[in-house]
Amino acid sequence: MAREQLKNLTEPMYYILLTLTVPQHGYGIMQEVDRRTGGRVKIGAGTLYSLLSRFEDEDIIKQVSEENRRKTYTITDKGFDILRDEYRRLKQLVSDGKDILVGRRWTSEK
Amino acid sequence: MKNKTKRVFWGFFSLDYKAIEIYLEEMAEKGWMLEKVGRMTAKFRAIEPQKLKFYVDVFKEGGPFTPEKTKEAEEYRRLCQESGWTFITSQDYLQFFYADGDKDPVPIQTDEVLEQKIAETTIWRGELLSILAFSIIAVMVLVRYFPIKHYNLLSFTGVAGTFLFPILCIFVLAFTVYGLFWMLRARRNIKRGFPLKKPTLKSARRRIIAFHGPVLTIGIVFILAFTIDAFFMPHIVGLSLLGPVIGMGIGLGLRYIIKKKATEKKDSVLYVTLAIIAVMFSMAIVNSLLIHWPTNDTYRADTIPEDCPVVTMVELLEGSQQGGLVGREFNSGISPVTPKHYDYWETRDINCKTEGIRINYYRTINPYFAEVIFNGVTEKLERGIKWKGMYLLTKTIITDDEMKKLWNVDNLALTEERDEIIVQKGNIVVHMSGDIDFDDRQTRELITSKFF
Repeated sequence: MAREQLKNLTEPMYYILLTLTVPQHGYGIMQEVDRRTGGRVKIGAGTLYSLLSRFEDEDIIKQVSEENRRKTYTITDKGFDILRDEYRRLKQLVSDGKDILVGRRWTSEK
Repeated sequence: MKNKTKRVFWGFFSLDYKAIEIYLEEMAEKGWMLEKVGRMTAKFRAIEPQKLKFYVDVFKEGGPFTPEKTKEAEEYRRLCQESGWTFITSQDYLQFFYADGDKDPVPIQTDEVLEQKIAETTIWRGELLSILAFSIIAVMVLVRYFPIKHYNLLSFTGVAGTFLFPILCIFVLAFTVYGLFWMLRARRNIKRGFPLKKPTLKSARRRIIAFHGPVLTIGIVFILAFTIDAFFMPHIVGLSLLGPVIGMGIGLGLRYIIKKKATEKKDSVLYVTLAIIAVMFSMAIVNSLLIHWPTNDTYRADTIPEDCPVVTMVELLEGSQQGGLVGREFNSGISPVTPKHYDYWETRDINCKTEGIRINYYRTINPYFAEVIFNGVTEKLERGIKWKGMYLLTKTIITDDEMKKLWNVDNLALTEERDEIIVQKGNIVVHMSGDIDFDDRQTRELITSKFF
């Protein structure tokens, strides 16, 4: 059921899981997502807290350490599976788009 | 100036939490920084007037009975702090943050769908719990007041409760429906992909006035009614205050301990359980005190005022053996609906036998209320006194049309033994009992000439 709910990840969800392929604490995640997306995707502290709680409840991520009340998380195998599925889905989207759109005048103009 | 603080009325609804941000920004520009938010008021500290940004967020793991500093709350606030928002204070689910006006931190919530879901489930859950608690109290109170009980027409508090409590219920119901619509509209907007509509400060203020204005007015009227009753019947009012005072004391104490002392969410379960036991224990004590304490809605007077007619035994026994006075007492009361009501009793020693009479007189502002009192007194006599699940001293009430005609009254009822009579004429009700022959013409004429 949980897996079903997260079949399609939102952009912030995708980047959070991507960032957690290496252990990271909350603020580190926010900084890393911001850096990786060049500031395009910004995750607020409240949004991040809610998503981390949800991921942890659904065994998608797990806590690896806690120092001065700062928790560090990493992705679980289940989380990896979800991330991989999402990557394939996105790749398929890009591939389908490429088949149809590449070569057309408006795409080449871009 | 640094230590100067002020308290302001805080009537914001949880659903208007986004409008609070604008209010706090305005206050900071005027030189007041939020320090604490309570149930009804908020405390502000004087600062140099400046431009500050505020963010009010809904923390789903907070609540009225959740410790202020749980591990989860600390983690969440730390995250907010690291992203540029300084924590100020919290009020149940709402968390208050600020940032310097020239800084541009990432908003605490960046996902509107998620934000809406949190706000909806958290705030609405909180509001629903309050509404549920209010509904339980409302049902208990409405059962006590409706259909209109005659004894509630005899005191200021009773009258205030009878007429104002239903109005209060209507207001709460209206705002519940309004809140539900607000929630449904927000959900529909999110589904359609529209941004969340943030309430303006002006609309939030309109809601404060529309709801708190009447509610506070009703509250003030209740307090006034209570104060007037306390003046006439201090012991009864004192006793009836005992329950709410103990309840509020336990509630506030419990809230303080949970908020300030506890750090784990599970602690609150233990404290709430202990508080429920304490409330039940104190309710049992107050109830037993109320049962064993003679209460009525009158106060004792040393002399009988001239404008309060009574029939004395000397008058009733004119021409026969009058014996000696053993005792007599006069108690009177006042209420907006029954501006004059009193009871008088007298006992005399006649030929070594104690005989007595009792008179209860009620004058209402309208015959309708007199009828309510007439019916109430009659039913009370019929029902008797409830004691340990049994009804004691029940009486059979009869009506006598011929007698009613002779007495020339609107309503008449008397006990089967013909030792008690209740009569109503216009806006006056008289209930008499004791050693009186109600069938005697002279007695009847004396009574009717005195009271009607």
